[in-house]
Amino acid sequence: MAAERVRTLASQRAVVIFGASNCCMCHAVQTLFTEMGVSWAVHELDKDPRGKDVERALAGMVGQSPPVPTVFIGGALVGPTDRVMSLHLGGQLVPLLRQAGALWL
Amino acid sequence: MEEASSSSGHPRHGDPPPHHVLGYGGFHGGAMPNHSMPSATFFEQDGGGGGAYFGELEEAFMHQVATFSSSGGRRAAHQQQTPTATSTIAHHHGHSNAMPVVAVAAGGARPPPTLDIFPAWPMASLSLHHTPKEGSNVTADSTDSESSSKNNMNKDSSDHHHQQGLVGVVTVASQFHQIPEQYQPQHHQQKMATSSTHSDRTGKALDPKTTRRLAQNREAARKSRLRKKAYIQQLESGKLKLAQLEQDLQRARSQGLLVGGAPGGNSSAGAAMFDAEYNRWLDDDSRRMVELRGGLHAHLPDSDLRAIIDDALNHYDELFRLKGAAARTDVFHLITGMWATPAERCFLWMGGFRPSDLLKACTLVPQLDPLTEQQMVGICGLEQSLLQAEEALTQGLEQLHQSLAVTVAGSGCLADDANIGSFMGDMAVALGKLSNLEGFVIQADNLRQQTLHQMHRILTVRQAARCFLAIGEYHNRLRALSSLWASRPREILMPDEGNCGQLSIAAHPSESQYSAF
Repeated sequence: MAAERVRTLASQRAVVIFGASNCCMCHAVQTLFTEMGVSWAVHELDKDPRGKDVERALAGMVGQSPPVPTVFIGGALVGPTDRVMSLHLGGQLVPLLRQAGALWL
Repeated sequence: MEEASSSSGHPRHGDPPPHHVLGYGGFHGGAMPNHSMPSATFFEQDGGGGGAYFGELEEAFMHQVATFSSSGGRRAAHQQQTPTATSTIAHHHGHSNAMPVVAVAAGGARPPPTLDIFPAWPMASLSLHHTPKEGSNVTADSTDSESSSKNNMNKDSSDHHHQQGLVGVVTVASQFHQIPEQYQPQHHQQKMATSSTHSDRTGKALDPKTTRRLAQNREAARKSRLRKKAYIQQLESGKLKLAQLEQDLQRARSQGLLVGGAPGGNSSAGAAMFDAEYNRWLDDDSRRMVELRGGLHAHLPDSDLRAIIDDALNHYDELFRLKGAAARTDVFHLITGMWATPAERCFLWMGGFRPSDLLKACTLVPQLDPLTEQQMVGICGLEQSLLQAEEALTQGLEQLHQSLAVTVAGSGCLADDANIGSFMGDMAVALGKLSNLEGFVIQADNLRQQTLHQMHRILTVRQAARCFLAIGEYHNRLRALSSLWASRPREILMPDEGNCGQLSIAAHPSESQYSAF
């Protein structure tokens, strides 16, 4: 159930970030995408009435708790912060973004 | 006490050696049966001892026969002594009885008549007074000239032994055979010798003055040997103590009790443990750098270099693992840089070096192995994404800071007295926010680790080797900079009226200590 909701939410935009309002790391990830010129959407779990379920589902997918921030690109799970950054350093994030239509340049 | 020949007895015992032993030991034993020789090895040459027995040594050398018996028989007998005799001379304890063996030193050769090791006496004075120490007891076979001088020797005064010089072959050669037989008889005959002309040394006439001098010399030698023993014992015990101290230090350090160079700020066990582990990591790293440097200069094949580089990369991974563990136990220790040297701490970025600094090594280093176009593109791309990531993390940390500040400020009633109620609540929130620090340090370390791996991927083996070396050296220099800065001489500031009351630097310390760098 919650997993479905996650997938639904994740597909709403090219880049979806599951975070929390008080999560500073989420802010870091958002800053990163902004720097790259990518528009993103954030879903703050603490503002979601069913946030706990989503969080549990996310934790199951990502394998760490609290699972914020978790990034989905093109509806597919990318992972937490370090995964995103490693991909970026490796030069693989940009193609992924392009593929998802999040990056036009 | 070591002796060249095991067959010799200690002269102190006064037992003459077996007669047939004509080697070193034989010489030793037969030399002075009555002579209470201090225990010193034949090959030992104490500073004091050697000098003490110089007198006797002189004697022995004077006995050394310069030219030799042409008789084959004697030569054959002598030959076995040749190797030892030379050393005998060198380490002679001053026995007058050394002569027979010493005499053989010339061996099968015919050394020039003037051969003598301590040429302190004019040859002329020596020639007349040659005598084997057996002196009066040696009979027969002596040439006429020598026999007369032999007899003279017995009656000579104190400097007599100085005058025993190099003599003809025949005398010595002849006496050589007779000496062994005569050791024992001499021993007994000494007591019967004329009192005025015989001392406890066979065949030597010594007056009381000489006797006293010799005794003093012996004492001096004995004392110096004892001193030497004591000194050596001191050295040994000092060495043991040093080894023990080192062991203790090593143990204490591994337990984190001692932290090299860190001030007393780490009361936390996690911090102390990390510091100890980090120091160990540094030692390992320097070893790897040396290996890498050696491999580069030795022009090892790429496969070998690659293995070394992979090992170095793994070692870095190990460091980041350590830091990750430390971040969970004591994040402040990491993020304030208490584990690093001051210079490193000054330019610290999120608990470590700035990852983009690593890329400087990439662009500055490759002179011998320049980057290809494709590599340059890769490095530039890496740099760009790295800068973006760094900026993102910095922004995130800044937001954390702001958030924390807001929390600590509370609901704005800091100035009021009745804010205790909000205190605990605010503290709880703040504590929760602080826990985010761990995440930032870990993410920063992840950037560092990924940068290293990407560099390894983009660069060739030799380029990577050079870059890793450069990175290692860069950090070494930063650390060295800290030490140099801490130990730099302070300049003396003095008020200077000419500068409108500002202080000016009056004394410049010597620059010489920096010149080496």
